[in-house]
Amino acid sequence: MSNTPSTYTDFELYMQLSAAHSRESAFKELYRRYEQRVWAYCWVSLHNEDKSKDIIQEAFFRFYKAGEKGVAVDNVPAYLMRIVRNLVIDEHRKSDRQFVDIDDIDIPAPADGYEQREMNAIIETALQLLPAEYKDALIMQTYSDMSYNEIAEVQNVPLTTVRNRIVRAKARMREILSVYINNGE
Amino acid sequence: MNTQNNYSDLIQLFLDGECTEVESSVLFSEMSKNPQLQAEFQQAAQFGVLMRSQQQMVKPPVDLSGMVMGKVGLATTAAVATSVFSIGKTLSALGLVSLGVVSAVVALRFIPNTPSQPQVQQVAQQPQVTPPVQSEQHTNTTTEQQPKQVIKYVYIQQPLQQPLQQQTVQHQPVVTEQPIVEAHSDTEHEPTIAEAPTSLQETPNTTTEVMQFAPTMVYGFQSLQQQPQPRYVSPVVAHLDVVISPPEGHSSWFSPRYISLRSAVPIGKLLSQASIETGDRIFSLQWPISPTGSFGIELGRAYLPTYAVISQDNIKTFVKEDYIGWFSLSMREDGRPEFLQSITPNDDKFRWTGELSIGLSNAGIITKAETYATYNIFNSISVSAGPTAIIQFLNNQGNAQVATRFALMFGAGYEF
Repeated sequence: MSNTPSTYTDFELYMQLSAAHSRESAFKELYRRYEQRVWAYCWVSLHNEDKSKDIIQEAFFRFYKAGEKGVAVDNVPAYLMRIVRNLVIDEHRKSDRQFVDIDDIDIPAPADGYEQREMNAIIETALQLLPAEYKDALIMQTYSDMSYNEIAEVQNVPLTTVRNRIVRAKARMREILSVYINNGE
Repeated sequence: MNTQNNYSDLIQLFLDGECTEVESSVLFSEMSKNPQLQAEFQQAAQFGVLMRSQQQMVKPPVDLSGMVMGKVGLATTAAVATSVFSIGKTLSALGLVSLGVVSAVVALRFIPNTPSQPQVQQVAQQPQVTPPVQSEQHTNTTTEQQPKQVIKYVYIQQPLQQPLQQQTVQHQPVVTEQPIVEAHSDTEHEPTIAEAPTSLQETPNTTTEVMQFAPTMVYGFQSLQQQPQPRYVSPVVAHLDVVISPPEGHSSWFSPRYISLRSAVPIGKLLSQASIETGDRIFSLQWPISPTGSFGIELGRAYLPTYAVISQDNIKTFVKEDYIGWFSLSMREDGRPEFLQSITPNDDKFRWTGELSIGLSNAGIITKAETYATYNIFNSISVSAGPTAIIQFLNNQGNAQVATRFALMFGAGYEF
């Protein structure tokens, strides 16, 4: 019975957010579990550290308050990611960001051998070429290490839709990056 | 599943670990006879490795954690500091409560000419003086008109600064100035107010034995029941409880280990008792209905964390209550039952208190049971210990459920 926060499930920890004496430890454990996931999603989606920090602060704040008030949640990580995703979408709307055509993207010319950093930049640039839903799903799957089911929960779409989106997104990415991958090898 | 595109999709799903067994077997069956698909598989695997490497490149900044914790208002330091902070908050709260109690006591102490001012000290210092009688004034000393009749136990209410030695045995005639108000006598005849002298009398044949003896009550309750009027200098009893609750579990109503401060104040013939604890607030009023029993009402508020009740599937149903507030009716027995006579020394230092209440809270029916034994160490200081239990019957979406809290109470009491 001597449980530590790390032994609780997400749901149990979320429940503890409504109790004053266990709130802090429960929240810190949930933050520890999902910091990487939400940061990766924000950072790759926005490519702006300050905005990513603001969004993550706001997202965890809303999540904390929801737990404090006892908002019923079935899937805790999906709920958290949904908050983050909505904030990211709002941020996109605020900045009136437009998805650009592939011809407008400045992708480095293929060369022999790529530094990892350069390859990262190329991949992230290629990501911007994907349709929003595809990109969103691919970021969650690749960077945030979420399963298809979790992504379906967050995007509120059927699992088959998520499967199609990710498969199409990766096919498109491979198509864009094929020349780099081959050269890089 | 017979086109190249579909197989390409299956490759991707397989690499992501999202293929079913049937899909996997279909894919590998086709790959075994399709070199183009094998090449595509290799390329997809390389791409998968490349994409997964991206995950490792995105690390949250080191200051993000502090910023988030600051945003939600939590401490950002280590757990030790957090604990210290929590303890500090608790002590601070207790300190404020204690300060309030102490202030009340000090204020009561400095009220001049309190009608219930104890007279023992005056008797001891000025045995021959016969001041005029104030009929409404009460005393704690006892006198008897019958010679050689010894009153063994006298309940002394006296200022705390009075040394104990000054209130011990006096085997000489004393002058009493007040009616007899309370005595535990071994004689057949126990004086009452009506029988007591109403004017100052000299009683040369009276022997009064004032024992060094602890008060007969811990919570200010027993004496209140036995006396027609409360007559305490400052009838406040502080009680410090340390309750050890079981650790949190799926079926228990868990609460932190907490400290409570109780105080009992007579109001007329009633006894009010307030309990302020970390997490719980309880206020009760009790009416004596027998020499040792009383009937009471209680208002309370306590934590009932949602964690308490989790359904079988562990996810879907739970009770959502941050706090519960309740109103209960209670019965209390405060005395020295037969079983204590046989297992404890035959004196009044051991006492027993039992209380049972039932009421309604905003979560359903609530029952409480508390029992503890109290031992007077000396004078006004006592210690108590015993189990307590709270059982909350919940109506959880039409299903009856129970949350319980069991605890052991250890307390130290002081009668001011």
